[in-house]
Amino acid sequence: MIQFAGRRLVTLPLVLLGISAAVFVCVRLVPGDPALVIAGLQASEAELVEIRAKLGLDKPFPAQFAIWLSQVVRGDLGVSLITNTPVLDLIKVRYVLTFQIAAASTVLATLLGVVSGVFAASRRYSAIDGVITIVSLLGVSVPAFWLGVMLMLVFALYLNWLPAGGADSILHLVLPTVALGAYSWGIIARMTRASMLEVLNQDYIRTAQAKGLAQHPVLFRHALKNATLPVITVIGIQFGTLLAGAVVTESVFGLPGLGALLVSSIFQRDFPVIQGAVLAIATSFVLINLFVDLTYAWVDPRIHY
Amino acid sequence: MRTTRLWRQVCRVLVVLIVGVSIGVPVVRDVSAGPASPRRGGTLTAVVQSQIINVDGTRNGHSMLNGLLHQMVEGLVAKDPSGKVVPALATSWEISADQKTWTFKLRANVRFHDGTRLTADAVKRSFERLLNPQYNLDRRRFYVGIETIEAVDDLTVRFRTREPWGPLLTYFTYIAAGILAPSVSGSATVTRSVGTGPFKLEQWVPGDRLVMVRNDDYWGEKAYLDRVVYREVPEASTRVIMVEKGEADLDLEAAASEVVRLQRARSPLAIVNKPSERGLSIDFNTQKGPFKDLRVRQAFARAIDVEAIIKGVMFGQASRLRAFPGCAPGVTGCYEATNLPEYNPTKAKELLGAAGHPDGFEMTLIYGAPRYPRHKEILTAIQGQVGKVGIRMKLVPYEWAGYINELRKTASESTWDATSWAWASVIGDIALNLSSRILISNQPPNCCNIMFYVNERVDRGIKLSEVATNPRVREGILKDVQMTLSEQIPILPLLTYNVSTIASPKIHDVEFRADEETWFLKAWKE
Repeated sequence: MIQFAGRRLVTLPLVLLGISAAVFVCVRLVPGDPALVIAGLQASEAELVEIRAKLGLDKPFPAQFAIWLSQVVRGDLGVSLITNTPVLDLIKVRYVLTFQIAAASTVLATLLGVVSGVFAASRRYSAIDGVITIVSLLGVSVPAFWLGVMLMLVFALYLNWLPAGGADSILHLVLPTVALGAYSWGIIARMTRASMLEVLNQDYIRTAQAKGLAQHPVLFRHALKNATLPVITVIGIQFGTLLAGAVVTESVFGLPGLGALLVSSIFQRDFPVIQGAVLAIATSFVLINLFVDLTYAWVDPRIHY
Repeated sequence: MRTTRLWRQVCRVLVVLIVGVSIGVPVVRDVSAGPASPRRGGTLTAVVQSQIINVDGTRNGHSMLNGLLHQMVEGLVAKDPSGKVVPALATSWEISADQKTWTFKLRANVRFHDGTRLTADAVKRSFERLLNPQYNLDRRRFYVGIETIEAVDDLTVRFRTREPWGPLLTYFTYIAAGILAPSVSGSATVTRSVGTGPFKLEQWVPGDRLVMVRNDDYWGEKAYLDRVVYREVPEASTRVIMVEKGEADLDLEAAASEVVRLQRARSPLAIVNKPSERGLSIDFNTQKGPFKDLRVRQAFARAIDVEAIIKGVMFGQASRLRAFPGCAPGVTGCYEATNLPEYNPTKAKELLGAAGHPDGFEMTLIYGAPRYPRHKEILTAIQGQVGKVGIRMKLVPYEWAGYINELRKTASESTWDATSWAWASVIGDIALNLSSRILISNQPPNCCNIMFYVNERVDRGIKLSEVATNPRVREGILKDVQMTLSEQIPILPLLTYNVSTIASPKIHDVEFRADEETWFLKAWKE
């Protein structure tokens, strides 16, 4: 397993290089001149030429990429074209916040999703199964934006139980975590249910039940273990998606997260920040996928790397 | 049995929630008069939509940011709340007979936030930084009329301009002319605003917040508040909820829909509505397509019912603009037009017929989104209105960076018939807007005469207004220019947005100024 992990880690830089190059080219091909965004429409052409030269934007793409790459290798992600602050400083704080919310949402969604999926599968076609199915569908269908505002109205404004916006304390993260976790919970619950139903029809489950084992160990010790693999895959994908895609929830709750930074830097054509943020997200995604792959071997002893 | 008990508990919680939501127990505060005299201390938290992209007034910014910075950095002169120029770091000034030399006497015993003294040399260095061509500061172009700066003595500074410069004092009230301490004015990049203002910078976290603390060594009346925190919260409803809950004290950029909601609910929160300087307009391509013909521009103008748009789309949170975009109370040089075409669809059809378009025509209007409040909804309403007279308008949105790219295209490269955007006055003198948007030399790619409008007489008038130092003469020139523009309508002014602030009733004496800036010098909190 260590060799497997080592091999995957060795390919990590290549994957990141490919993603960085793709993003580098894409953002520069989109119409919109960062020099113009920085200087404003009233800037003369001469001023724009000077700004581009100062920021290195007048060099050919490969040269710009090589310069950026050589900086990244030294741990320097450059400076924001708009705010003049180091990109690493901008990303560090925001990444921590986004990671916290994504992780909390994933944990919450996993706990609720797995438990409700198991219950639904064990009581197939019952009222509980019906309720869980409908609610999980709602979780997947309801826009995070709307859910976030509704949660804020009820729990922050009307009941005054929780704060509305910002990220000053743990309590501030509760509502965004629930808003963000609802979608993942729906997906995980449905995947768990489907996977469990497949396993519950197996002979060894029937044998365990025939031997007089109680429902609880049958479900959680025998069935769930074998149903877990696809669920783990979904959890990994959801976590990675939440890291990159929490921008709507971050906007609703006024959270200075990585998603909001990425979107505003795209609008402002702040190339160094875009590249830095994408690099951070891509690295996380690759590491999460590696962790998911390693977890397979831990859950299913038949898997060897 | 266990399930039944569980269901009963769930139902009880649901009933509480439903009843609670139905009663609608928002924050219902008792709006008492409060103590008569201001209270010292406390932290005021203001939530804003706009990003705090820098702490350097010499760079591109916006009104909210300018107001924030103005509380930390002062200029030689300032504007009072009504927009009149008053002394600030300078106590007096003289202008020479040739109108090219301005001598300012500085206020004594003023210190920057880093403890150093305000001197003529510090003023000189601050302006030299602004004018340094190597630094490429965005606002340098406003001040290139300054030829030399001389520190005559410790408290006397003299500016020599290349030409007589009538609005110089107004330009000196702008944040870009704010005086920075020598400790920061030696470099192009400023990440700490070290000025002389009543507040000083404590912390700036880009994308999150900016914190100012009271300057206890301020030369003038000390602020009451200990601390002012600006927090960036993009979502309009979240900002209002934060104020309703008491997590914030002010929403400085309240959305029109939220203002209307609170007014209808008779909320105890204070709502301040003022016209901003931000004037929305339709700009016509006068070199290509149907709008080359003045009659077509007039027909378009007569097809639009702006009052209906203000009422129906903006919920009354805007005012009809009959002057050049950027005009507002307190902006020097503005003239309210009496000859703008008014809503008259019958007349519009007649004009179209006379211009050779009896069956109307097709056109494209581009705009940048999302940028201005309810811009898309306003344009959609206009699309419907002009459609009734036969003008089939296609709306093409661009995201902002792509939009300004389009606006840099020359007359031969441009592919659109009209565009729509909003301008504020920036400096507080309408001549700058006129210069940027109307001068023939400022056609793209140079700047902002995106209508490709050519009028030599208007051009001469605008250039004359820059050098005229007699206020009456200058006023006459600017009036003549604006009258011509309202006849020719290369730019059709539509409306001025309101700046709406929602405030906790515990906050008092916040200064909402004519130039959209919000100042907290006299503000206090119960």
